[in-house]
Amino acid sequence: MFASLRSAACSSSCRVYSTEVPKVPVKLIGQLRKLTEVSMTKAREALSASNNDVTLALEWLQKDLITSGAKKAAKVEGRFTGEGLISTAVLSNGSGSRQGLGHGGVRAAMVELNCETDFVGRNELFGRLAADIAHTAAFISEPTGSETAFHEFPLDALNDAPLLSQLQPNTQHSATVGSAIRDMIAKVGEKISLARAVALVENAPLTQGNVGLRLASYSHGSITIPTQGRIGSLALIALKSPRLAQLLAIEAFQTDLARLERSLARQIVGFKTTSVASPVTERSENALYDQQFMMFPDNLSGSTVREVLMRWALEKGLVLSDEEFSSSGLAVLDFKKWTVGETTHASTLQ
Amino acid sequence: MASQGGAKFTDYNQIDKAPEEKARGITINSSHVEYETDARHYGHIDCPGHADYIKNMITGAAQMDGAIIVVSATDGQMPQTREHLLLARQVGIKKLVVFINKVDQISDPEMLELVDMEMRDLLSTYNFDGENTPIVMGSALAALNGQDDKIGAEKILELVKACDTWLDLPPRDLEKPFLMPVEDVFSISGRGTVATGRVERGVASKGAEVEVVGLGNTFKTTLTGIEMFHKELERAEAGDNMGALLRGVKREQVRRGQVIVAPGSIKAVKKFQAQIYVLTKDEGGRYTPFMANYRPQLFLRTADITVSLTFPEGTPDAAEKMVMPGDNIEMVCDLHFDVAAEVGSRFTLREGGRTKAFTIPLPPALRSSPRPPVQTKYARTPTNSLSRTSLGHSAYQVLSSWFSHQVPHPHARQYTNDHEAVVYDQSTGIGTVSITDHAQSSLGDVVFVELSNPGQEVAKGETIGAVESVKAASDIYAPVSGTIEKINTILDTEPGLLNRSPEDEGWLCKIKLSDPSQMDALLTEEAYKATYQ
Repeated sequence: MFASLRSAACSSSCRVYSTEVPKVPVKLIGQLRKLTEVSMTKAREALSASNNDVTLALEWLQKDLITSGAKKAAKVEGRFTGEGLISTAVLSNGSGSRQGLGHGGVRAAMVELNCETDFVGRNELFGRLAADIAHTAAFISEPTGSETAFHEFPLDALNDAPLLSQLQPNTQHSATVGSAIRDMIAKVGEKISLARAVALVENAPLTQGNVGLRLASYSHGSITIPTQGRIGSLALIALKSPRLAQLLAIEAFQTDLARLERSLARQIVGFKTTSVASPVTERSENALYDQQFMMFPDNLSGSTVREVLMRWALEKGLVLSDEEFSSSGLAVLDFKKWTVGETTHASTLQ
Repeated sequence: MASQGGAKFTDYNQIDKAPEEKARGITINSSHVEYETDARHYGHIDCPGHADYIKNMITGAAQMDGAIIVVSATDGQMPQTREHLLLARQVGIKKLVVFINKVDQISDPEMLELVDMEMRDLLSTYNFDGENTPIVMGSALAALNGQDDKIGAEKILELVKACDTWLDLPPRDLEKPFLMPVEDVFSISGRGTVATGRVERGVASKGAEVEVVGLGNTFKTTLTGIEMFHKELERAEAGDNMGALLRGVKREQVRRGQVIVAPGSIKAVKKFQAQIYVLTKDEGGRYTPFMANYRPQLFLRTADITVSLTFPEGTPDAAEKMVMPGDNIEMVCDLHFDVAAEVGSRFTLREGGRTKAFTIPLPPALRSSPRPPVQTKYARTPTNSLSRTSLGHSAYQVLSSWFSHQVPHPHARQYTNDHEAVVYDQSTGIGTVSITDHAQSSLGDVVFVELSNPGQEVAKGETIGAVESVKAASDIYAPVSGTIEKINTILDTEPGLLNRSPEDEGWLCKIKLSDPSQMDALLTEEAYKATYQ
């Protein structure tokens, strides 16, 4: 089949032009571009190097990307990347969750992938790459046993990690995160950079029964994929109650809990939130617990997050009496909130 | 272009260095270059980003009537080219021109054909006319360096020519159907009801059929008179401040916020979908997010209506979805009263006096479409306070001319010793009472006016009201005896009117004279002036 195409292409080119190199049929270039979205000239180069065989050309491109992608990446190195996406991946959202990995543990990650213009930032290919990198970071993280819940994922390690696709977990990916980024640079001609990554992995607490961990997440400004946007948040929540196991088995409790978590994550994103609680000496509007819980649908009286959490714990049976609050209840342990471009913009100011 | 005198040569660096413009406190992030052909004048803007441009469009800071999309011949269309086309769709561009650049680096014409073909495919995918869109191939570098005119300068001229022939001219304001937002309404005895305002678009002639639209009361009538700057005219056009005399219409039937239009040219709507940009805190907008059923005030032209905002049907998690300052979003607006609006009408949303968002309605037919386009532009609605001050003045000018028609008698205005003036109309037996210009100037800024109720009988010299200013307070006395027919209720809400035109427009009340001969006992203007100078 390719032989016939080749001869046809050759004859047509011989008729019109007297070139020495075998002519690459335009039709094949078009076909290769549909498959890979590489540039026009690169597609021709690949086909011409592989004797107009599309399969071979794909392999050639794969190899070539290592050098040409690196070259392109070097060319755009000095440029400013202030756009992009915050992408979150939650593989397991904690106690009582019936899906995902981890069985009661918490496993999640958040990454920021930057580019130069929001045209690229809104593109589907870019979004998928950001989602896959977040998925990879969540997948390969290990519990650190450290004091802080969130740990920064070293970018060098993440760049060298094999890219795991969230949407097609079974496809063979030979690419690493770093090479996939270079691949994208070659396709869009803009600088793409992985700005930061954070992961959160906690196994289910050993003292099963009365202590549980949950994870809340929210992304604001999603375009195609709901787990990514211009602002993202991840929050780790602890549940403590002697009746926790029974409560988690109740469908309605799970629904209410998920709703509360979404409200918390939205509250963190929607308001200027820098810490969970204020220092003992002063009340700060930037502390989550002291803010009016505007994002909680049933909070017409304008109670603070702290008040709503206490009321919720009482209403839902986590806590049965006021005395129990010392040993039971629901608390936000820690959170991360990122906005696109805040690190790059800050660094240019310096 | 520069060589033909149609443009000033502008270097890339200059374009990129163009300072960010600030308009109405909103950062505008685009640079303009101008050029003209024999047929047209173009304002060319570079489009730095999707979000930036959407913001410019909604706030009315920049408008695109057409677009040139540039594709590199060596790369072909790139993944983000789709986003460029989506933006063009979203801002309502129906036609664009494609320039394929860097053809000097491609020796194979078939490759260019492929770029051409792929581009036409993509244009069709995004509902542009892929088949007929002009695609010009050239080299900007060659044009810039003055080399190889065949692919350089000549191609640039071809590109501009393609713009001239392919891109449609936006309709000019004068060619559009007549529309005048009602600023204020007066009833002039002997003439009828006059609505004043600034003609937004189109042309109206005396005697034309017009429709008053909006605020729950839409009806047809005839424009029996047009008044501008003390003159009665046959015709008013876009930009004119006019007074429209409406046949057989009661004062109560017309209100500020309605529009007077060419019949059938615009409909009153109560519910529509709009594209909204929510101002950030730095731009003077909200600090915090809002959710569905948020109820700000909507200002559209002169109308001011409470609106409830919800998410379009089918929005996932609509009950929990939040909108943050800085967001561009489409929402459904549900108005308390209907108001004249069409696709592309701009309005602002505010709460507590703060402009919260700029918005632009979308065509209802496209409500369910995932990426509905927004259509053409209209002048942005002025803010409420702006329109009051600037147009209130013109209302006065118009109205004073009505008065001059109404009073044929040269000695009709007479004065009391106590700063009241009265204008007597023999045909109706009614005297219109005001305070004198002289009294006003000694009062200063008037903050409060109180008047007796209509129907009350008053004797000459009796107190009929009081006026308070920042400097002083004074009672107002009846200059003549009679029955109070009518009081000027506008002064209740706008006492400041007295400062602008006490004797002309700022009348206080109308008294049906029981004894017209009392008029003769009052001072003439000359005598009054002589007394107080």
